[in-house]
Order: sequence, then structure tokens, then C-alpha cells
Amino acid sequence: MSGDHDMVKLISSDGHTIEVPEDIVRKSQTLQNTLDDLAKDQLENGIPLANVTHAILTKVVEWCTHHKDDPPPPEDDDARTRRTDDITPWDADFCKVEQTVLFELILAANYLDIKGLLDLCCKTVANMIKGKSPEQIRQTFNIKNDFTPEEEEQVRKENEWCEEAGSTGK
Amino acid sequence: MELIQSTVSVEWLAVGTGVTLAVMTAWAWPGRRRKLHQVPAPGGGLGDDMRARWYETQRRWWQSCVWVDELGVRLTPEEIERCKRTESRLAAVRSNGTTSRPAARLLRPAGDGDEETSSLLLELPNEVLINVMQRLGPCDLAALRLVCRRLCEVERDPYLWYRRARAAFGAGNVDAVIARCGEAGLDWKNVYALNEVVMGAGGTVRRIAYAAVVAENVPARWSHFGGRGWGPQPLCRMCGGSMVLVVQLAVPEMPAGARNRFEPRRDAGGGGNVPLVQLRGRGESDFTRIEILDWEGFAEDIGEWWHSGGPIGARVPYYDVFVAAAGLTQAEKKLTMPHLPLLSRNAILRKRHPKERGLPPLPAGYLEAIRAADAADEARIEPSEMLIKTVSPCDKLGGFPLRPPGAEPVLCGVCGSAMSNTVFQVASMHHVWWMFGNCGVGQIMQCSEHRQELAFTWDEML
Repeated sequence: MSGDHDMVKLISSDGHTIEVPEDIVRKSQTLQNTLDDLAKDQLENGIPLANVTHAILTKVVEWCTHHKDDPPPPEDDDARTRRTDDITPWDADFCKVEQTVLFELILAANYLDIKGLLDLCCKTVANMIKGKSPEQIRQTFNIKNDFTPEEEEQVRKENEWCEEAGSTGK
Repeated sequence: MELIQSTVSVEWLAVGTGVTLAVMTAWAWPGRRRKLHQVPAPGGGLGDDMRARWYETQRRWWQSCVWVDELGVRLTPEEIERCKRTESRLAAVRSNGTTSRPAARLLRPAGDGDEETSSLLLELPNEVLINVMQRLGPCDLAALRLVCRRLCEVERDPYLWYRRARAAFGAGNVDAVIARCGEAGLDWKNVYALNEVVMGAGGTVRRIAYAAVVAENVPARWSHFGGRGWGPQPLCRMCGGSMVLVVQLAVPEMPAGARNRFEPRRDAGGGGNVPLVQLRGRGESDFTRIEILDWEGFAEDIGEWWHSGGPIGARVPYYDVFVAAAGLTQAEKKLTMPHLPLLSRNAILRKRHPKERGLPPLPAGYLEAIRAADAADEARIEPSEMLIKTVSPCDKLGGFPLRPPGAEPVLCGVCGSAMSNTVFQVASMHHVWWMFGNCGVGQIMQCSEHRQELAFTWDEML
């Protein structure tokens, strides 16, 4: 911990240290558990985050700072989690980053257990998938089709009901 | 994967592993080309055309390669070239603690069988992928299943199916899902069992229907309303009275989706047809004697013999007027929403806005009713008079049957389960002159398992 008792030192995987207000840090369930479990003197040297680089940690802190006054997200809300069209303009701008950064943000949010940020990034990825054909999804995310023709045919058969449903309209 | 060691400046000159790599390297650094490889040169024994083709081949191969530098950054060939000429790049690499001779991995050209996949999406853990998938609709998930094995496997994750089933069967009531699986003798934790249950729900949400488009003067063996059937005029098996044709569906003319429900008959040349006849004695009004004749096909020569020719039409009993048969010349493809008795258990798709799928707008009042139900936090939409009025009865092939709420299901004579396939729906006063009961709607239903089992049902719709 720093001299200011409200500040917490976070050490990124590439060795950078940043100081973050404790209420911001507590947006992360992982870090909140750490803060609760460890004595203050044990936190003097900072909390090492082996899976988060400095650049990503900065982004995470930026998001947490902007959302510091948000109420905690509900634990299990189907209606809310299914939506992808409720991204605020600030969040949308926040997610306008390269795919590499977006996926690193997802991994960091998952590691730090920041549900709001994880949901935001997942919504962004879901929006990148929506309405695309399998080939377009492969191109977007640089995925190789590793199905055998037989496997692909089997999956296509399973999808028939949906193709039928999506092909026409009344 | 093959590896090339290269440098940023001129001293970076690559040490290729094998002739092919050396050729590639030489192509990338023209100044060193001759020293590394015997490149066909002007006057060197090869013609200009051959040399041009060789360069072109190498250029294409080179451009199809994917570079990933030591920091994991994907670079295009142009960026690689820039990097080689830029000292700042070297400094940047050095400042990140890597070797002063940073390596660049050259992956094989795209399309090679053992190409390394470097998708960042696939590096996400399953629970995150499930989080993403939870936000996708059924058709997007269907597309995702076809992308690659990993996504297909994750998409089948029991947890995702569980969540989806939970949404499909309403209002966070897990018991409904478990009970439904239990009724079917399935373990809800089994992904395939849930798949069956959820797919069952999804499959009934949209169905293709074909609206009838009619014309006069069609051959007798074509599909048509009224007139003479493709075969002898049937008599009622109970009273011996003559029956009139309501509708005849010629199986070969049906659109593929509907036609495939009728397996071809081996001993008949034709594909068969489905005649629906009704007992309509003169002066009588016994509307209830309606039968489907055996749909299994007639050979064309037998049918021709049965049919005596002449105008296709019939004198309609009771009204005593001659009505030309209305031939089903076309089938206009439609997509039907489930009618009310089927709608309530499909909550997951009800909430999808039609614009998402590019569907035409729903009937007036439909969405309002759904929103009203959602606002009241209702898991199910209760049938209401308002909704009933939004679904107009019509003649159609396939789709959902229009039946009043609580209508008794039509059971298969073989397995006893409810018949779920609608072969055809006939609505009173649409293309036929007469009515079923008091302005009713009738359907030819078919068992999805025993396709030879057909049944006719009708309901009054007033």
C-alpha cells in the first residue's frame, strides 16, 4: 500500500506499477478478495497481476473509474445478459480497439472478475458475430475450418430447422 | 512450421533452412538475391516469360504468408518490409527485452493443411465463450456451430443449453425445463437431451407455409379446390351418399419442403395425391362427414382411366351451382408464426424483434401483446381474443394449424402422439365455397413419425 491508505499498488505482468484508489480496485472481485484476505502490511509491495499487462491494466482501470458509481450487476439475470443493444456510447467508444486489445481486455476482466467489463466485452464480440455467415465469422476472427466434411454435414443437418426458419418470412 | 531468422537492418540477412526458404528470403531482399540463390536472370538461359512466371509465383507465395513477430504481433508483408528498414522498430524490440536479433516466424501460406490457427477468439476460456454465445440468437448460434470444432463443442456445453432451455421455457423457472426433460425420460444435464428439448421448441417457432394461389382450368391431376378429384368420385362409407372434393393436393407439385413428407410409393408411377372429400348431400347439411382418402399415389395411367375428362369443376351440392375447380397453380412461400396454443412456450424467440431476421412486421397488436405480457413479467402469453383476431384463417400448405386455444390434439393412430405436421389448412370461404361447421378452419394433419398417418380435423372459429 502506498502512504495514502486509499491507494492500492497494482503490478502488471511487465513490471509496471500503478496506484489505483481502493474503491476502484474493489470493482474487481478477485482484487476485493485479495484486499479482504491480506493484511495491509502484506499489500505494501503491491499486488502482482501475472496475467495483465500494463497497457491492458490501464484500460481496465479507466473502465472501472468511469463506472465506479455503477450499482453492482445482478448475479444472474437472463434478460439483462442476453441483451447486446444496451451499450452506452462511452462504453462503445471504449471498446473501439483492435481485436488483440479487446480479447486481452476480456481475459483481464475474466481474471480480475469484473463482471460489468466482461459483459461489455462479450457484448461487443457478440455484436461482431451477429448476422454473419460461418465463413464471415472465420474471416473476422481468423479461424480455420477444422471440420471434416462428414462432421460439417452433420452439423448442417442439425441446423436445418434454423436455416428453414431463417430463409423466409411472413 | 518453418522458422526464418532475420534481422532488422541489412545485417539481418536471413539464414534460410533449405532451398525454398532461401528463395523466399532472396525475394524479400533483392540486393542479396544473387548471392543466395540462382535466380533466373536475363540472358541466363531462361526466357523472359519463364522468369516472369517464376517471379510471379514467388511473389504470390510470399504475399500469402502470414508473419508473426516475436512479440506476437501479426504483420503484413508490407509491414515486415517497413520493419526491416526502420531502426526504431529494432529499438522498440530491444526495449521490450527481446533479443537484439529478433526472430520473425514465417507461417506457411494460408490454405496449407497444417496451418497454425492463431485466432484470439479461440484462446478465450469456455465460460467466456459461453457468455458471448448467450447473447446470440438461435440462427447466429447455428452459424457459429459451423465455424470450427472448438466453437461447436462449446456451443454444445450443457450450461449454455441449460440457460437457453431455461429462457425457452419461461421465466427463470428451471423446474419447467427439468420437468419437460423428465416427461420425455431425458436427463436435463445431458447436452443431447437438452438439445432435443430446446430444438423441439425452436423448431416450432417458425415454419414455412405456402399460401395457395389459384387459377381456373387446370388438369384434373393437379392440386385444386373443388371440382372432380383425380380418381373415382367417392361415396360415403357410412351412408353411401356422394362426397364432393374439398381439396386435392398433388404430391409431386408440392414445394419440396412439403412434398418430402410423403414418401414415394413404389408400385405407383405418380407421386400420389391427397384428396380431401366431404359428404354434402343435396338439401342436407351434414358438414361433419369429412374424410381424407388414402393419399398413396395412383399410377398416372390408372388415374387417367378413372378420370373421364371434361371441364374440371363440379356442381356444388346445396347451392346447386357449377363451380369450376380452383387449381393450385403456385405456392407462395410464407413463414408462419405459431398460433396461440403453440406460442406460449417459445419465449426465447418471441422476444427477438422481427427486424433481426428481416421478417415482415407482425400483425397489428401482436407485438403489443407480447410487450404487455413482458411488462407484466408474464412467462407465458395467455391467449386473448385480441390475438385471435390478428391471425386470419387462410388456405395454406404447411405452416402452423390455426386452432383455438385448448383444442384437442389430433392423435396418430399408430403411436398415439399428437400429430404435429400440418399438411394443409382449408379455411371456410377462402378458396372453397362451403364451410366447416360454423365458419371453421380444417387441417390435414400428419404424424411426424408415421408419415402415412393423416387425419383431418376442423374447429369452429367463431
